[in-house]
This record gives sequence, structure tokens and C-alpha cells, in this order.
Amino acid sequence: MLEMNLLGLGIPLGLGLAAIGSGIGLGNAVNGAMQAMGRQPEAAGKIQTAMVIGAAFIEALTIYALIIAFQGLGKL
Amino acid sequence: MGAIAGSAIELPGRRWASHGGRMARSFEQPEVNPEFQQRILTGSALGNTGSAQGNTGGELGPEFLGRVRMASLVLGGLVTAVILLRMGTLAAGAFGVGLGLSILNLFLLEFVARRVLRPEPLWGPPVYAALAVKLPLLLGGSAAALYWLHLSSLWFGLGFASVLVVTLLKVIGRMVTAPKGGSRSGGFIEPKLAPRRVARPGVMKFLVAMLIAGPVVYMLASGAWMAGDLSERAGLSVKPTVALAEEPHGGATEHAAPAEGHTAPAEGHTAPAQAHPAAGGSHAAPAANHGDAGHGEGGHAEGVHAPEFPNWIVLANYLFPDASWAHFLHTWETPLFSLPVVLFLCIIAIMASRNPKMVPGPLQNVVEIAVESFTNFVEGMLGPQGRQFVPFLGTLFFYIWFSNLEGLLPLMKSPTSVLNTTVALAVCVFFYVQYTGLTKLGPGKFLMHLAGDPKDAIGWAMVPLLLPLHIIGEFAKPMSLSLRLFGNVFGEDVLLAVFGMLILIPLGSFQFGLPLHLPFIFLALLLSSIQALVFTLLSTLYFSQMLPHEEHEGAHH
Repeated sequence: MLEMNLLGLGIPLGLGLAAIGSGIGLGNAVNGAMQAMGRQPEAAGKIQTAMVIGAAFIEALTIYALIIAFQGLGKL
Repeated sequence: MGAIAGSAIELPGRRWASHGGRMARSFEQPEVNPEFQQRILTGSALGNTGSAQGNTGGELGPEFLGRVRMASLVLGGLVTAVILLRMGTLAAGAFGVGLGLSILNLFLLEFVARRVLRPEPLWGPPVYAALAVKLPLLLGGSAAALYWLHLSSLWFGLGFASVLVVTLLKVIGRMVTAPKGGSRSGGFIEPKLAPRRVARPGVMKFLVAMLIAGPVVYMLASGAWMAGDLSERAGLSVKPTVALAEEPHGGATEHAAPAEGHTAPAEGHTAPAQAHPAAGGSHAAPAANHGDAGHGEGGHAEGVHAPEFPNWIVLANYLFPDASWAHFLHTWETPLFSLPVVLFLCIIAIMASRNPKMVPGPLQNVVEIAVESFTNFVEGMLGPQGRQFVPFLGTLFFYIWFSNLEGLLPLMKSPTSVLNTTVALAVCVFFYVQYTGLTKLGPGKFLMHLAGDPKDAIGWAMVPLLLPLHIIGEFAKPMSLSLRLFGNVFGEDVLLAVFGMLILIPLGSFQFGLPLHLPFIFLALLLSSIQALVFTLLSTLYFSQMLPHEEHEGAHH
């Protein structure tokens, strides 16, 4: 029973922590991209592509946490 | 002059103000009883019903009421049929009586309006009779239905309200689609001059269509029976199919065993729900509540399922729990949902590319734009030699995109919300990338690439460390690709389902959800497109690392 409670507490907590981390990362990445676009609007296309790739890598971490959370939910 | 001065006054006063304008023009305008007009307009400031000349139905008048009546009849009949099939005759009867009473009321109103709102109002005995009958009919009919016939008040009320809902939706639709010139300067003043239908730009039409179709579609989508409940009854568990954690499902025998186990509690649950029509009368509502409370607890005891909207295969398994073809469908669920996307893409491609024209038609135009822009995108990343990868990457993109979007359709499911599909796609990418590396770079350079392209003594010293890292990195690519896509699409579907089932209204033995997931639909539309793009973008990036040019080597890990 205790394990179940711990699992029930841990899954949302872990997901939230992962979201905090990748939120900060995405904020940094988009911040940089926006500034770069503002300075060089003519390079906006390339910057955007790079930003999307980076954002995908950052966001993948939350997705891993989400998948682990689904696994945990299945055990709950 | 008079018209302009008149219309400057606030809108409800228009009919008074427009007297001057009407005099100034030569054509005849009817005197409209303002009270009746007000009553029929249901308080809409837009309405200029009274223009009796050419009531085209584009305005809020008797024609409009007639259309509301027809729409209510058709829709109400359909809903009654559904209720008859699902909830039994008692509920359907109550619903039908409510609907009929409401439509009768509407018909009387329309009858009066048709006679009164015309150039020469026909105030005669029929009109007075209709007016006199209206209120007693309404009250007496309701009282008789509820107190003497002991019909379920919930269903009766729903039936009665359905007509009002249709009216409301139609009024909103009218207000949104009303021609601009008519309502601003007062179509009442110059009905001949204001064009009936102003051609709007295509975007506006699209928005209007979405505004009307959106709620209907998503009511349908979320009005589907609660997924957990339904799947439990069908004997299917909706646990997330994370293959990493579970042993792979074996043959049909293994599959059938949990299904048998699930059916027994499901039957137990149906018993109280079935008892509710028998209780009848005013006891119907509490009985329904009890039945559903039992269901909810049962669902919790089973364990937490990731909620998903039921698709048609789950429905088939629910309706025919013992049929072997239903289980066959369930076994082949993902390929069956992938098939429509594949067929759609094939048919579009064939239709657009066979018999190409110098002056392209609409379909050829769209496909050409898509192919051209995608080619530009890939060539921008890979250079001119990237052209050979366009078919593969383009197919990936469009297949993933349409698969993601398929999950938003009612009774459908994204094939990409299953890990098997995304792993298959990612493995394709993996092998193609390695093959490209081996052929374009050559085996020696390929190995050097994996070793981190050592150039000096420090580089060579790092090789024992970098080679395993790079090899692991190569294998991590398909894993991250597939898990990202699967997690996004599956998480998005679960998010929609969670919000769609946030507030459940118990109706009979079923639960209906409010469409609270509507705002997240737009998020899901965005995410579906972005994830398809990201998958393709990353694949392109992996190809670019395997192509022999030096700029991209630095970005590699």
C-alpha cells in the first residue's frame, strides 16, 4: 500500500519536475532564437529551423518522463 | 436624408426612425405590429423581420421559424431514434413528447407570424385561436405528460429544450452569416438595394463553417460513451501500450483470457442500470444515479486506465462482445486505422499525378505546392544532393501528419499513438540513414565518422571513448524519434479524453461528457502538425550528418 501511495505521489511530481526543467530550457532556446531573429530578420527561416530542432530535443525529455508516468500509472 | 438621420438612432428604434426613410422612397412598406415583431425576433437586435417584400429566409422571420421547425424535426427524430435504441422506449417516449410539444408550439408561433407579418396582416379568428391555444397547450401538455403520464422529467425537458437549442444555434448562425451591408445600414430601410448575400472572402466562410461545424462534430466526439466504462464492458483494457514494460501479447488465446475475465463484472454492473426503466416515474433519476455511481467505483477498482475516446473498433467490441470478427478487428486495430491514411494519400497522389495538365486544376495545384515547398525545405537542409531523399521524407511527413490528425476525428484513432507504428517508422529511418552513410561516405569514412573524424593525436586518443558513444548515439536516434512521436500523440489523445470526460452527465446507464476539450483541439491540431514536422526535420538532420560535406559534421554528437 505504501508503495502505491509513493508511486501515486511520485508520478505527478516527477512529471512536474521534468516539465519545469524543459520549460526553462525551452524558454532559453526560444529567447535566444527570438533575439537572433530580431537582430537578423533575414535569417529568420534558418534560425527557426534550428530552434524547432532544439526545441524537439528539449521537449523529448518531458516526453520520456510522460511515458515513464504512463508506465507507472499502469502499475498503480 | 431622413433615412440617414433615422438610422443614426440606436438599433431597436430603427422601425420608428425608418418611417421617414420609407416615405421618402417610392415603394410601399408594411406596417408591422412592433410587439409581434419583437416577440418573434427573440430579442435579436439584428432582425429586420418585417420586410415583408421577399422574405427570402435569409432574415429572422416566419421562413426562419419554418426552417427551425424542419431542422428540429429531423434532428429530434434522429436523437429520438438513438435514444430508443440505447435507453429504451420510456426515455424515447418522454423525449419525443417533449419534442413534439415544443415543435407544435413553434408551429403555432410560425402560423401566427405568417399571417400577421405581411403587407396586409390577416387578423382573423384562426390567429386569435392559435394565440389562445398556445399557452394552455404548453402548460397543459407539460402537466399532462409529467403528472398523468409519469414521463421522465429529464427526458421530457431535454426533448423540449432541443428545439430551443436548435433555434439558438440557427440564430447565432444567422447573426454570423448575415450580410454586412444589410444589418449595418438597416436592411429594413432599403431591402432592394442591400444585396441579399454579400460575397465574403474565403477565410470568413471557412471560419463560419468551422464555427457551425465545430461544436457539432465535437459534441459528437465527446458525446461518445465514456471510454473507460465502455471499454470495460467490451472487455478491452485501454492501458497504454508501452511495449517496453509489458511482455508482448501472444496469440489469440492469451488475448481472450483477460477479455473473459472482464465481461463478468461488466454484466454485474449492467443489472442496476437495466432495472431503472422498470422503476419508472419520478424514481428514474435517482435510479440512474445509483447505477452510474456503481459504474464509477467499479472503474476505479479495476485500476487506472489512461482514458481515450472510444474508436469504432472498441464500439464494435462493445456491441458484439462475443463475435470473433470484433476480436479480429481489435487485434488488427492499428493497421486498420493506418489503412485509411495510406489509401487517402495514395488516391490523392494518383489523382493529382495521372494526367497532369499544363494549367493545373485545384488538386494538382495543391499537391504541386506541397511537393515543391517540401523539396525546397529538404534541399535547403541537405543541399542539391538531398533531392533523392525527398520522396522518402515527404512520405514520412504526410503519413505522420495525417495519422496524427486522424485521432481528432470522432470514432477514429491515430495509428501513431501506438508505439509499434512509431518504432517501425523510426527503424525505417535508422536503416536508411545507415545505408546512406555506408554508400555515400564509403565504409572507411563511415567508420571514421563513427570514430569522430580524428585528425590529430588527441583525436586518435579519444577514439576508444568516442566510438562506443557514437554507436550508442546511432541507436539512440530511432529510440528518441519513436518515443517522442508516440509520447506526443498518445499524450495529446489522453489530454483530450481527460478533459472531455471531466464533467460526466449520467444518462440512463451511460455517461456523456461535456465538450470541455474544445480548446485543446486547437492545441492538438498544432501539436500534430509540429510533431510531424519535427520527425521529418530530425530525419533530415540525420541524413545530413551522413552526407559527405563538412559543414554539418561539427553539429554532430
